Amino acid sequence: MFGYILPVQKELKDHEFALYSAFYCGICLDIKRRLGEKARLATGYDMTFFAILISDIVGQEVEFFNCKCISNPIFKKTVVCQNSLLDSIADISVLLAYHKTQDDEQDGEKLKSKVGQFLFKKAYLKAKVLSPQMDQLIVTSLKELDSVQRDSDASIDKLAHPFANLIKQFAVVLCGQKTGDNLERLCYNIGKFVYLIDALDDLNEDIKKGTFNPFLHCFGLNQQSKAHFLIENKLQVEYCLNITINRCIEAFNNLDFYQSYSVLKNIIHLGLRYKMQQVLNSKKKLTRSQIQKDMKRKKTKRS
Amino acid sequence: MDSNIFTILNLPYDATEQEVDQGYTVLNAELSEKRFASGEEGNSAARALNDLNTEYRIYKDDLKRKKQGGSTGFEAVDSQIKLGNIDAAQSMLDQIMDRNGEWHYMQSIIFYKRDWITECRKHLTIAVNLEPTNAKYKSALQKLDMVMSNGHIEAQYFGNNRQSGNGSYARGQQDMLCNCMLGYCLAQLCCRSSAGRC
Repeated sequence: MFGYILPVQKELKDHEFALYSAFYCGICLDIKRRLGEKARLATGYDMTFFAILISDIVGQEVEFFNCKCISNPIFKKTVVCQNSLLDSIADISVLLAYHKTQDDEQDGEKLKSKVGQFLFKKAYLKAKVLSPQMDQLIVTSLKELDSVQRDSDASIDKLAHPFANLIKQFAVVLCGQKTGDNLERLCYNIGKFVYLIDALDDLNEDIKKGTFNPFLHCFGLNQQSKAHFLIENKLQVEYCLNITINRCIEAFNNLDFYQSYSVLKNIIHLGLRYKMQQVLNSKKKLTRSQIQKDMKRKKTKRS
Repeated sequence: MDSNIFTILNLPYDATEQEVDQGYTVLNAELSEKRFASGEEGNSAARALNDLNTEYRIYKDDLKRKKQGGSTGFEAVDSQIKLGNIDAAQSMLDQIMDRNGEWHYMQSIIFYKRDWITECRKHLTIAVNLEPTNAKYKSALQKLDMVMSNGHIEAQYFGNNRQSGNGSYARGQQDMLCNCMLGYCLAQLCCRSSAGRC
């Protein structure tokens, strides 16, 4: 996943931010321990949210420890200890990162794809052995996505379905018997939101390169730029995104939480809408460093 | 679209018309009194009263149609939807050849249950265009356009909001890990200020 499911920093209390960071670093260290140093670059904010959510739903026992790491070599940081759930999340992060590099190759981004393959190929092969079911889910969903994209009449819902369903399936597998309608609806709509917001963020690039984009596919191919596209279609785009966000909120409000409600509430109630506005108002694609800068501001202030 | 007169009145789906009427009268009287209360209590009672009246009107319209012999297999589709068998409901709906307003309304519900909301809206709009006087279709489309697609509506408005503080358990119990982290941060702060770094 791509870094669109984030908390709103200024609304997070210090200890909530510390908990969020502990999960992020926990995933990063677990990837290192399980799949190798290079694969740590697959750590993402979306999967951090997913780890906190699933951990709460299944009632995972969470322990912490303090350690220094490559990005924090001086002060020790509090990190979530390895557990079976974190292992699965680590595998999913790498599996998704590797499959994304293959997608980049199809989009003609050969250099990006080559770098990605260099970073993730070895780890992917390990993760595939450790979590074959997750890899199978991704492969099936990508095949479905490929066939849907060939359908010229496919609606935006139909195009978003394979990825949305993939995230739902991850939740079903990870939660086992503790899954339920509301959790599945939340995860489905989270997946749909990520797919749509990523498509919106990529709009300028896709227009320039002539590559597939679900918004262009459904609302008109002949566009000059993202700004031009939004003049004509902003209401429709906002409609799709708002409904997806509100369905997430509705499903979230129907769930019971015991561990990390405040952090999750910040992400679902505020973070999704904030990210939507950020992408709608941004003329260029949000970069990884921009997202990280947003997340690091508070840390810098505190230390 | 998920709420209906049965869920509002907390009655089983096979409740009789008399039981629904009775439940409606009691709840209507209760909410009518509460809506004059000050603050959020009054506002939420007014919203609940509005929902109750809309759903009751829809229930009565449906009943009237059934009594007039309007049943054309949609009840079976509806009961499959209520049981959560969405694929079965879709295949039953596909077999109905008369694609009237009710057909498009049922299709919109199936899409809603699948979270295909733009498809849902498309069919709901067709249903409203085919039967512009139907309160049920209009209310569903209005709810979709005014509430579900509203990006400024308070997040607390959606769902049951079991964690809002009025739920069955205390506020602290839903944030166990956050509280752990708070305790840990405070302990670390004490350590640092008293004896350097721990």
